[in-house]
Amino acid sequence: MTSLVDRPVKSDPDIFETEHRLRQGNYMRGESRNLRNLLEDDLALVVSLDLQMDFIVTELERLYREGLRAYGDPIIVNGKYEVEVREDRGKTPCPWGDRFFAPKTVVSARNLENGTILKYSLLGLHMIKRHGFFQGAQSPFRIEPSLLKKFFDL
Amino acid sequence: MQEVGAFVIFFASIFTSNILLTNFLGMCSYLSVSREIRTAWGLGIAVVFVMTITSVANYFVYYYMLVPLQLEYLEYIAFIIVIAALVQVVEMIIERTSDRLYASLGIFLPLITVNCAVLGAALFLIIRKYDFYQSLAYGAGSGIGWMLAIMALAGIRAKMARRSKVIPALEGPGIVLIVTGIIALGFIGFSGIVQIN
Amino acid sequence: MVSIDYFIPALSMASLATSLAVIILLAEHFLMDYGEVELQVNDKTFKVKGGSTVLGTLKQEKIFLPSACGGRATCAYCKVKAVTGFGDILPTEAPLLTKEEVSQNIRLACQIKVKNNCAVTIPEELFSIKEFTARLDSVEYLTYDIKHFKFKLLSPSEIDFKAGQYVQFQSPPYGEVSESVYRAYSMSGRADARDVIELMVRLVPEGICTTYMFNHLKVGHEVSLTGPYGDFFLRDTDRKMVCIAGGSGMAPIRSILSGMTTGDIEKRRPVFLFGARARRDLFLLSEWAEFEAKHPGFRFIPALSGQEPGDDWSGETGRITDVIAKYVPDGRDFEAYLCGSPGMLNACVDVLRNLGVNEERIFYDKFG
Ligand SMILES: Cc1cc2nc3c(=O)[nH]c(=O)nc-3n(C[C@H](O)[C@H](O)[C@H](O)COP(=O)(O)OP(=O)(O)OC[C@H]3O[C@@H](n4cnc5c(N)ncnc54)[C@H](O)[C@@H]3O)c2cc1C
Ligand code: FES
Ligand SMILES: [Zn+2]
Repeated sequence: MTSLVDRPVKSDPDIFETEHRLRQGNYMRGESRNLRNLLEDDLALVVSLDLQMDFIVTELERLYREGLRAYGDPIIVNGKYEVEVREDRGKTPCPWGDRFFAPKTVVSARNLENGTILKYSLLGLHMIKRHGFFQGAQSPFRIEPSLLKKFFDL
Repeated sequence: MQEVGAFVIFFASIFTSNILLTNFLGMCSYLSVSREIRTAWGLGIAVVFVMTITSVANYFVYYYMLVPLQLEYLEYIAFIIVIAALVQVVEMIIERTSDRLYASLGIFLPLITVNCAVLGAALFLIIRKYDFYQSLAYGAGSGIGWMLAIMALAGIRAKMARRSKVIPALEGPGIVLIVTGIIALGFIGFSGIVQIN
Repeated sequence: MVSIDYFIPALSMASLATSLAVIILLAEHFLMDYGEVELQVNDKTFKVKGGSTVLGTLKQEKIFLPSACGGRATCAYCKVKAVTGFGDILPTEAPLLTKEEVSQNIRLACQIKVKNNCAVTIPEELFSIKEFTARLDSVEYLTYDIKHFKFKLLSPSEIDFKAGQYVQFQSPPYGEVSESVYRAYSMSGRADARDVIELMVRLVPEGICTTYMFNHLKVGHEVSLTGPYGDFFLRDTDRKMVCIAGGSGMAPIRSILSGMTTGDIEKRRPVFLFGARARRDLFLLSEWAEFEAKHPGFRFIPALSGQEPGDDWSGETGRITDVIAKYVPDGRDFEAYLCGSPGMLNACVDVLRNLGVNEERIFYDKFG
């Protein structure tokens, strides 16, 4: 999780550029808050839910790695999660402009004990990890912090 | 008109009356673009350019247009228009002459239009009744002073990011303001050399 | 009567603004106009209007450099060799170029600008890349999430490509999508049918381009494509062939196999291993059966990794990686052509290598 020091501050030129790029793509669709407020709101949400993002990111990465071994078929991880990794060809450059290229991979995971379903893409995972960005409320790939809490039984 | 030479004003505005450290103008970009020395340098150079040019331009606009027409009360609007327009021209000049500078300043130039230090410098030189040379010296000096301050901060922040463990509550703007305070104290050490108000 | 004094403030502000606008326009006129300059590309010289990036200028001249980021200096696909007329490396380029590239004067075409007479070198094959307008003639479902699109080329009316290559499809803004995006799709038709382009596209949930193609693109609509790109195509050797694909990865393999001559097929005895989850993920079975009947040297082997109730399947089962060994007895005689998801591809490369297939004889799309 990025620390507050690395978070963009009001009138940082980078954040205007980034927000512009995010809005051109599907990352902040129909979002009325600006990027900075969105980041702050989600950070507050993470704090109030008491989510340890380092742990969550590591777990999400692990589920992806385990799921990958089934080449697209569903696989049970730890007897607790059913994971299916879908890969499409091509790569998406991270819209934050950090020269990261995410493979077009989506992980669908189901917690078998409580039935919670979580879908996340590798790009989405990267953006949480590196930029503290969960995406706009109506973005098709938003990762909802409260869903993470439910999914991992925290 | 004050009885101080342009040269004195030039140095004073860099060190003792630093527009950022004594007047705390231009804080927002100072806080946010000071993470890396490279970008701080870029923004700093852009501010030097723009402040020098706009100070002179605003001097002429004020004394040769607003004063004769008795429109001094419109100085804010006039100065802002002048700054916005000149930033555009400066941008074009840089684009034409140096790809390198343009690529590194590209995103900063438009931001400077809203940098309050630039407007502040123009207003100060009117309030302090500087003449032309004094205005030129003051504009350039303030720009350089601002650049010096942001680079000093960027250097410290770069070092802090690697070495120091800042307590979470003070991370980000908090610690930066404290550091700025200390830098400002350091600059007071220059005050024996030259002094303007 | 209103005294003129009332208008002085407004008039003077207006004249100030006007004169500044004039200054800006003058500056624009004198500073931004570079006039006509000469841009040399390999051995051709173009007279172009100066001031834009090399990428944009070449596009005007109908030379299409690859680009995935739309000129935002993030993809590094647009590399060219700068010969003369360009300054030092720009801060925006530096992170994307290696030391070696810098010493060879490799630059990003989307960043460097044509300001005076200058020269660049690009790979010769880029000259054959063209921008096509095409009309959608037919669409059909191959499976529940793969569609087969057939486009008729309008202008230019013919494409010259090697079986296995791909085109970039332009997905225009639609609905809430406000920018054009470009996506790669392998051509699945025969290379000698030069006035049509066939694509097999798998729907990506929430994918920008595939959603456009599945829900918005209708028969009769015109689209824009550039190509051909890629070095995935049939190598001219006498070696035996194994082709492995899954899902829409069938596209380039179909193009390659259907373009082979009867003699070649007899000689190289290709096998096509096609991996799928269940029966409902298989398609074009009758076309492949016909092909097998026509060419006794060829075999099409579908394999199902997870059957569904009622699938009633007597063919190969298991992951495609488990099936390979049976059809590649001695890897040293084989050349392999792969197309599919990155995970499947990597796994197949491992298996093939262990079977003794020389790594240089395993072909697939690098950017995939
Ligand atoms: C050489 C080559 C050949 C190809 N040939 C074919 C072919 O023949 N047939 C075929 O079907 N495909 C082919 N592809 C794949 C194709 O180019 C596209 O990548 C694919 O169709 C998806 O495009 P899209 O615009 O629909 O999806 P995109 O909009 O690009 O989205 C795809 C993925 O990106 C991620 N993503 C997107 N938005 C977000 C977000 N907001 N947050 C987080 N993650 C996000 C997700 O993982 C999502 O699944 C080929 C690719 C290459 C490189
Ligand atoms: S076009 Fe992507 S880096 Fe130049
Ligand atoms: Zn990123």
